[in-house]
Amino acid sequence: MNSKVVTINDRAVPLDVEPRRNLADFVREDLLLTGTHVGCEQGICGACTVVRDGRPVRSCLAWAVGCEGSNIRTIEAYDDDSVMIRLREAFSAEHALQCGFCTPGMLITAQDIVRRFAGQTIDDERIRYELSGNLCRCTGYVGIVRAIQRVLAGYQDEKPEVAPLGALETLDLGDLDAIPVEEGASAAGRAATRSQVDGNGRRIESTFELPHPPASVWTVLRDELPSVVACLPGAELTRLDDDGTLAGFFNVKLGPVAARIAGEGTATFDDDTWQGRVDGQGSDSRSNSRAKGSLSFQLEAAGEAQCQMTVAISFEMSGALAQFSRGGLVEEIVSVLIEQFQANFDRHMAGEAPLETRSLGLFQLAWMALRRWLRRLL
Amino acid sequence: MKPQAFDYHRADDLADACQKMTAGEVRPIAGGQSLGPMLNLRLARPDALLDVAILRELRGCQRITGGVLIGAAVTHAEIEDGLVPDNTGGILPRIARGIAYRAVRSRGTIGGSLAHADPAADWITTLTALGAQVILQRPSSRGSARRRMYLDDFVTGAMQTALSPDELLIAVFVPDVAADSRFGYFKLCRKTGELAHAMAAVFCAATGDGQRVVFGALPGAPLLLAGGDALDQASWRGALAERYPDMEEADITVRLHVMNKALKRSQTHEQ
Repeated sequence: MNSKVVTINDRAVPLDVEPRRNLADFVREDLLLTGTHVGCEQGICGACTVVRDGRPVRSCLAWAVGCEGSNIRTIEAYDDDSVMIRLREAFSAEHALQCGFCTPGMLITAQDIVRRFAGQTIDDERIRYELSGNLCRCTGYVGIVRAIQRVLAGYQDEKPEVAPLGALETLDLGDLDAIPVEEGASAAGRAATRSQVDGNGRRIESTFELPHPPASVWTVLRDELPSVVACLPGAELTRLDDDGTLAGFFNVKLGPVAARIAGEGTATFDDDTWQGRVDGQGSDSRSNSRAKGSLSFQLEAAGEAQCQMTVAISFEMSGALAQFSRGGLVEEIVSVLIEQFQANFDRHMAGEAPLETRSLGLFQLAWMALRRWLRRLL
Repeated sequence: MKPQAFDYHRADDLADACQKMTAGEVRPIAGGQSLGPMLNLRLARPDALLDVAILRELRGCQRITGGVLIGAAVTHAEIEDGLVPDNTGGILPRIARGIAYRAVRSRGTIGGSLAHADPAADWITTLTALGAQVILQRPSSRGSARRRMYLDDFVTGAMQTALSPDELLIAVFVPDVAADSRFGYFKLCRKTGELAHAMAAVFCAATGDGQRVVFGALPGAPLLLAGGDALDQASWRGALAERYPDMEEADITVRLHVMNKALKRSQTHEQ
């Protein structure tokens, strides 16, 4: 017996669904309330807007199980709502309903606008601002704006009945002064990073000083490659053969985004010039994206007990993700990676274990660009 | 697209929530207005979600000496509607009103926005300018461990914060804004309500620690300039170029333009 219940259109509905089922699919497919439309599934288009506990929300961004205990109203349940009755008439009179796909979301948003602005005179621009989260592909906002103005005009002297929204409770954290204020690590000491487009990919280079003699640094780079690779957050070397072929993983993690790129490659070293390079390529089976890249390093003496190390990361992504690349973000991410590599390498040279750091990655750039790409589509 | 399968947990209280954070790859979710799209696109694939929006401990606010405490799960709409005491002369409700769309503001939370740390989010830039702090909590052998951080220390990069994996952002402390302070904010969006391409905030405190300007919607964390030179326009270009030596001239120009707009608004009290 499932005890989880959500109230939908005044009816208690058991929530016997898997956690990933969103509220829009739940009302449409399980309850056959098909007035709620699913458009973008990104929270952008507004076609799936329903009312949850008195406020309009995106049902594509709500998980049905998370609505346990909530009160949901869909477009099917407004027959007794005085504002909605007037809006329906006004939408008909002003030809605000065109193909009809956006209309359920438009009506619910319009109802919220009328409830909040009844008794006030607001200009069309403000209504359009309030409607900006509901996209109409017929491009016919003129009738919709007029319909809302018509209903608002009818409420000049009266207010629609509005259930008050709950007040917030008192937050008690005790004595705030007793909670210590911590300072974060400053980004001021970050090594200067240069970035340039290199063929189809991008090359990011950073130079920093290491307080160790160059010869001993080179020995470590040459002979302890797995440990050196482990200094790069997210990188794992699982195999290294005598001929320099290697295999490993690069764990990409940025905020909530995570991927694990499995790859193989080769390592080469030039003892005469203190230059080395690791080339690799791999793919993430879950997102079906591919990446290839190289990490190269060069040492130069800077006094007897100091050396300068230049690390360059070049990479190229292909498959679905390639079209999403966005320059500035990659540089930021890679410069943080190199900064952490520098700190960890320093620790390794001093015989300490690498810091436990959360790895950063390139999927963030895909995400940012994907949003832009979606915006262009919509 | 539909998300990859995940488990869903509710916490009984804050202590329970912190405890549940330690079990595997659990992602806390409040309003889910930023994480939701990432789940739907399968960019984020957590093993489990931990719903913290329902925690009573995160759903309140309080006026205290020197400022206002806002619970992490207070929504943008609640701030817009004046359910949170406004100690900023209208700045908080005005910024809230400019976030995405009303239906997104109904669910999206101030704490979730800060913990998600999207560089283009409004609260990060605004609250950095106002000198706000976040209060973090994690489980501890002695009961609970709390710490506070200024936002410019808390946000370490694009979607990167100082939160440890078992730690929750539980509240925001917004210091009082003195009556004669000046504040200006401007963001450039391709479409109303969309994530900003560039944003800037200017804050000149009537009392206390003076001037602060913040460039937001950068590739990484907000860029804060504080003190006497903060309003020196010549220094803005230098600060951007120092942080992002390869930023294209057009991008710098847009950001300086947006900052000038914010500065103008701070001088004219235009909204």
